[in-house]
Amino acid sequence: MTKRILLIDDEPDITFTVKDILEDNGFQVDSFNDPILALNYYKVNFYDLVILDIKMPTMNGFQLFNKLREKDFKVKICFFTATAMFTEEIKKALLALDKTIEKDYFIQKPIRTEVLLKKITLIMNKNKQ
Amino acid sequence: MIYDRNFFFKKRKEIGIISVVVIIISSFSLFYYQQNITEQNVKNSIFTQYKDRQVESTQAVSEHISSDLKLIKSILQGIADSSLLQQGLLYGDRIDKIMQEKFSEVNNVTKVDTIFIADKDDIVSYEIVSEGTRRFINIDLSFREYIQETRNTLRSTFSDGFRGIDTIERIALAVPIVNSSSGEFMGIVGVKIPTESFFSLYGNTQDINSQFLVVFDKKGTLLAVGADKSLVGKNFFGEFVQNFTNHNPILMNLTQNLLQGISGYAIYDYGRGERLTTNAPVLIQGKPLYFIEIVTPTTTIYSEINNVLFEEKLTMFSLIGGIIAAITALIIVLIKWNSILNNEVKERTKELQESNREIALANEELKNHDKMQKEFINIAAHELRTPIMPIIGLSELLYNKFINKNENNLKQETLKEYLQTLVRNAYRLQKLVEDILDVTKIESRIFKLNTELFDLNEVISNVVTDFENIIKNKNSKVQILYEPNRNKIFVNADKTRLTQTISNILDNALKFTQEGFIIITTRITNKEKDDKDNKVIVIIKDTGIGIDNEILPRLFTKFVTKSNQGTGLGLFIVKKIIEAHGGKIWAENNSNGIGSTFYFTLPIVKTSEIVIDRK
Repeated sequence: MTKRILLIDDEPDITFTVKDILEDNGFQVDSFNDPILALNYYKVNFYDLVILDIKMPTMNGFQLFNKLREKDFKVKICFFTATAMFTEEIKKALLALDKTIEKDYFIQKPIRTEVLLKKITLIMNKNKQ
Repeated sequence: MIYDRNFFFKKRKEIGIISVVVIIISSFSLFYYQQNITEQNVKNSIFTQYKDRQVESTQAVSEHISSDLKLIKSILQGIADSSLLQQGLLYGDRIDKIMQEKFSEVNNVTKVDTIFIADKDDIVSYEIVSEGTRRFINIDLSFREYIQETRNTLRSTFSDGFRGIDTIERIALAVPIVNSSSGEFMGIVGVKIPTESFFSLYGNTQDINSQFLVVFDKKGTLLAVGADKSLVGKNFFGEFVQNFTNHNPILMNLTQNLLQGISGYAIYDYGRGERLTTNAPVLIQGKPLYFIEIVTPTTTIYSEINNVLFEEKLTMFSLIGGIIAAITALIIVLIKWNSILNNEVKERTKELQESNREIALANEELKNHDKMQKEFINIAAHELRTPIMPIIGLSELLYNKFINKNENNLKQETLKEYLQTLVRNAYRLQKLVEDILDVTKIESRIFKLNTELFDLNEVISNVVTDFENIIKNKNSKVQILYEPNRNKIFVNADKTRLTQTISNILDNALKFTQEGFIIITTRITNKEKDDKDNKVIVIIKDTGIGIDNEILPRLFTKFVTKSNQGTGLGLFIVKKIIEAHGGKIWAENNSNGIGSTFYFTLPIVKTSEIVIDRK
């Protein structure tokens, strides 16, 4: 069964690129540049994975995470960001959101296609447990 | 504690003055007290010395009188023992010759006004008197006590004071003429001595106001007295003298003792000023015959003492005065020095506070800088990484499609979109890298301009043309309006940097303007030919959303941005470029509330100067 991924990033070039890469590798991808639009569109129990940018103008990734959790407590959500490294600060913020979130749920931009696919597969497998 | 210290600190001048005054007053009073004690001691000691001296001199005067009287006595003895008188010759030419001789001899010793010879019946047989003195030849002298005594005792006798009809007080010395072989009394040879003129040889018998001499006989009769002439011949214990001395008990006691042969001294005042009196008996052959007193008004002693003391005092006061002046000067110097030190301390404290403040400020700046540096790294990381993602992702996607899967049937449109995205992101990356490099150059102060002379109109026109193309490609509803200035605007500037500046401002304007106009105008100020400050103002006005009031004050500082794309470095670089050209840049929101306007100035080169340059 085709895995469904929701991708939210304010940069059109990023969503365009990542969407095409993932689709080329057999995923079904919906992408949004506006977090609010994405939130409105969100369908519960539909996606296997949500990929969130952190630095966005109208609503940051953490806020969006909380909103999504209100709608869907089950769906796996990972972060996809160019913001610095996986610093202690961000780790703390992530743990405050969800204790199950670990380093694996944090994907650093830019990333090579191969590594991206591995990470997504890993997260999805975790999801199965 | 602190209050007290401040109090003393503020009042230090007053305290200094008060302490100087206190020191002066206390040292003077201490000195005065000490001086008084010393003076009293000195006075007493000088007075004692004076008194002792006077006692001694009284003794000396007494001895002097005694020795003179003895000398006269021995002369008279010589006459009595002379062969003529021994032969019973008591008058006649030969006697006269001897007597004349002896008279002058005696008068060489002291003042004697009569020398006489009396026979065994006490009748004066021969007499020499000094001029103006009455003669008593053939007068019977037996009524005189001293004559009787001489005859009875056959010894020479000094008489008490007596007064003749001429009212002159005299004493007499009688020597018996005794036959040396038979021991028979043959007569008397004697002298009469006027007491006042006699004793005046040994002291002052005239003036009561200075030291004077008083002489008594055994009965207390005053033979000579400097206090008052009228007292001469009066008995000391009589009413007249006692009235004169106001019955002074000390003087009475002293005189009584003296007449008993006891010498002494006393200080007393019988109403004519304080006196120091020293006395001594005049002894002849161990017997007190006359008595002298030397009387000194103490004022004369004290005036002498005071003269000495005054000089002493003057010396001491000038010494103390000198010391006080030195101390005062020292205190003034200390106060002055203290105030200088104080000012120094204040100055230093101020400097220290200033430098502390500066350090704190620098620290704050450093912290800010640190924070900004972190922010810069965060933003730069984000901005640099973002365009790389499409570049890597799409390159790998294309590689995968073409090389791995050998897909040649890729839609032309998709391919175009891939390539456009690739190029766009590559440019975006390039722009970012350039900005970061510029900032690095500016901050490490190696930012330099490559200036050349050109017409600013051309540069603006070129940039405007570029942007018109961009607008056309984006299908934007914004229109750029630019009318080149009719005059050429020569500037000596870096063309690339000015292009960058204008592009940056236009880019900004375009980013925040959805529709409407971007209007560029140039204006030359100070057209006067001689004005060196000729400059051009470039005005770029848009009809966009305007500048957020929150960021307006820091618009030209680093990392200030409201855009999602952008590091906030553009306007910072622009400002540095304009400033490096000697110009200014500022921005404001338009007064009608729509959009904002950017202004920058550049110095322009006058045409005349260009001609000179080209020669």
